[in-house]
Amino acid sequence: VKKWKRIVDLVLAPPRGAVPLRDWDALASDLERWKLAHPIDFKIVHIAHHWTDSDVLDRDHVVRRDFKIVRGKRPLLLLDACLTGARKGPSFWLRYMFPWTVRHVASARVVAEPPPVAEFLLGMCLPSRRVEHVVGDMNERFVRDCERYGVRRAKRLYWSQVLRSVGPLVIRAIGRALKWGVVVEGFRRKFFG
Amino acid sequence: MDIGLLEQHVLLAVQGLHPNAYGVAIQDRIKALAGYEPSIGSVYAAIERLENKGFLKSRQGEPTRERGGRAKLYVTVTAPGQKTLKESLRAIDSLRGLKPAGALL
Repeated sequence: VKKWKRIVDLVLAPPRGAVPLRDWDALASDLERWKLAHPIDFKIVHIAHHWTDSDVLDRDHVVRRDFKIVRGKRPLLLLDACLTGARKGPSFWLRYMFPWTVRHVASARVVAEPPPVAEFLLGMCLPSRRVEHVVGDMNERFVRDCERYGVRRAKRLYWSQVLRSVGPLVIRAIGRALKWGVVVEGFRRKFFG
Repeated sequence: MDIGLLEQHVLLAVQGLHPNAYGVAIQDRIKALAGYEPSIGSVYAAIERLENKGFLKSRQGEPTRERGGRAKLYVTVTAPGQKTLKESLRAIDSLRGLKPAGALL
């Protein structure tokens, strides 16, 4: 009886913080944007609200355009609802018919992001036309380092890159601002090769 | 017009990576072939100096997922840049008492 009561509770009461979303097209584009902005170490949540056979058969364990985003503490948490391949089992159908139950069987992973303070510091030292390129490069490195060394070391490496970059960038910025070409160039040559 | 050591390395890396030279790739190439890793800030500062001198030109690349949706800045060596690089390498070779390596470029 307890077990059934729990199941009924799960089905009838969506978990706190879960946001059921109805506008699937808008949500799909949101997710695409989100994927571009936060590419690192995340699992996408696909939860079927109104699945069809074609959706289910599209890809393995993924129902396109049907997902739910749960906002927790920063950074954003995504629940992976496209679980292991029990597509035909009762738990699969239960999950897809009553998606909010998924939270209780899904695994959640914290999204890794580059250290925001370091990113801000880097942005401050750069001219606005270069911010996109340099921060993009740093992101690319961060993703690669995450895969190679893990998130913690990747963050350390990110910080080290930023701190090593500040000197040359500030010197360059001063050179641009004051137009003291000769002095700044001499200083740069002496200290930064 | 003279160029510094890092600028010389950046020019060589850009030439070697042509046409896919951008910040991280340049940094990786210098690390792999020259044995030290310049910071990304140093690389971009050098790129900017070389651009101002007219030795590099840049174009905006495509944004990708792993870059957080941000675009790359591809750079290529201009004709004056190639000439300066050749002269710089030739000077080094002359000082070392070697035949000029400029022919390699």
